[in-house]
Amino acid sequence: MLFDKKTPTTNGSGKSMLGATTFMWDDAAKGDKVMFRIPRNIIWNDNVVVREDEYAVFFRDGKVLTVLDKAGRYGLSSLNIPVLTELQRKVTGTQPVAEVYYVQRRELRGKFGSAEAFTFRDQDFGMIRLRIFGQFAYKVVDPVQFITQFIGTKGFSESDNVISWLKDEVIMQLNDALGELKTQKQLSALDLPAYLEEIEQILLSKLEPDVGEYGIKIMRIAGLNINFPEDVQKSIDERAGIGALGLTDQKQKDAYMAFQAGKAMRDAAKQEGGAAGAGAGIGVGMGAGMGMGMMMANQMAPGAQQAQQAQQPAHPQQAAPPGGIKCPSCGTDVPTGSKFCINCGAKIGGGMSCPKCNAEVPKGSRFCLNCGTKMVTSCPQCNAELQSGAKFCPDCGTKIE
Amino acid sequence: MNDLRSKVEEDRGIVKQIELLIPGFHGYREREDIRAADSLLRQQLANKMKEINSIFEQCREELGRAMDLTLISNMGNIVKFSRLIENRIRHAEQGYTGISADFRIEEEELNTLYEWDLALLQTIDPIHTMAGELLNSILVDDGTAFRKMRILKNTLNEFNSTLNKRMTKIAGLEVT
Ligand SMILES: [Zn+2]
Ligand SMILES: [Zn+2]
Ligand SMILES: [Zn+2]
Repeated sequence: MLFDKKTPTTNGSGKSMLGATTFMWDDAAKGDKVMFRIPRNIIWNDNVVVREDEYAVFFRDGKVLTVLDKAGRYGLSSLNIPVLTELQRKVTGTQPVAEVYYVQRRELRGKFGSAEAFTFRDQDFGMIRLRIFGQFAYKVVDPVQFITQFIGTKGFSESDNVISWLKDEVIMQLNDALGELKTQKQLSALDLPAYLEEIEQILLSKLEPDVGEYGIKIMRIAGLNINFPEDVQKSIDERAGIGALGLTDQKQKDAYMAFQAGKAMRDAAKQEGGAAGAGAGIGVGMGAGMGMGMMMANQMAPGAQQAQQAQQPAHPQQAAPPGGIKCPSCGTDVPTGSKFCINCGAKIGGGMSCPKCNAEVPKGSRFCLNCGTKMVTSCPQCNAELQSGAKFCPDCGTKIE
Repeated sequence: MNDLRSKVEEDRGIVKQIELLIPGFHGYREREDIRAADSLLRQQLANKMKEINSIFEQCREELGRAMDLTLISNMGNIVKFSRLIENRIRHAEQGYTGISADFRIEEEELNTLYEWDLALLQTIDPIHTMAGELLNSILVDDGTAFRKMRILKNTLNEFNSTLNKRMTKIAGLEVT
């Protein structure tokens, strides 16, 4: 080893004519800095203090000479020179010996965020600008590699250079990951919020080998957050509503959107002190698809309470008798099959799943809201209650079609 | 010949078996040896866990490359958990303060420690093998990865709880 650890007997010895200087990394200045360069190249007789939570890396001519990773005070005057003859020649009096970098050993945290909004070419919205941020935890696991790459190859000398490189790397890989998700998995911007956890993991899987070459290990990515422009966010909220109702067919979606628009107008009317309570009990959960236009017309007309009666479902399988369920939250009558209260938005009942398409269907539904498959709930032979999807009656064994 | 040899194998005590798994392990015959033996065991376990972790990381990398949205979160959980185990083993080593010289350890307690040590050593190699098999099934996409991940998770859980028991026991022997 190039630098001997000072023993208690040699400690503090060797004041040269120039006087010994002791270098250490000031705790107060440490913070989240990943590295620190001793302000001048060290010379003969200097002392270097190494703490538990840091490495000291000696660097010269583009190469790492040695790494001190055990806490202690190391004196250059106790150099064990014979191992490095070239250095020996250079080490004369006031000649600089090497640059010394301190590197943190503990886990550090950073935040990443796109200062510039991310441009994401989306299949639904075209070019949209996303703002993405999150946190990451990282650690220097190989100080030799770290210093060789950042100082030797990149010529960075400040901790800030390294950290901002790291953040750029995170953003770059995130950009890649989102691009691949879009092309390989056909994910649209609207799908992203549902896959944040997976995106974090994909990001980790890409970053690890990427920054591993720099002696860094990314320990975690957390709190990934994707912000959409306002109009896109609105569509996401609408889609969430559609998803909750199990609507996948474009016609149903359109009908739902139209309904939402109508609802907004109705709310406005209410505000003006108009037809109070209008629209309460109107079959929404009914799963759309049915004469939505007519329904809206009814809602907007004064005295819309009677609207229910006017609603003739377009398809028999969507015939949900109105007033089948009371909202547990506000008491409004809600049509059987609704997943959400049309008045207060509270969630209604538990669900079953469609034996054909697996969509979640509200308990008691006779038909799947998504594909229209008949949901058998009782045995046609003995009337015993059946689990949805059951092939045989558990009581009498009758085969269920 | 064969009979005789298997008889000898059976007669090897737990300490003998541990010695076979950790070269240089002298057992706990002498009270003063506990610290050295414990440290050897930890080093061995932590290093193996590190190797296993790098296989798990490769698994995640492959899943990420394949954009596998159904498995990657589960894999992430396995990586997280197994890193946690590795850290617990290593960190505990640092906090270790030693055993009092006049602390009397009952034979029964010692035997329990031996059993846990052996269980840890005997579980970690299969985990290594399973990790390799998981990586293979991810690479060839044979559809068994999910099931393998579930079994791995359970095995890691068992390993972790054996480790817990052992750590608690050793901590009880520590002098503060
Ligand atoms: Zn309600
Ligand atoms: Zn269905
Ligand atoms: Zn029946």
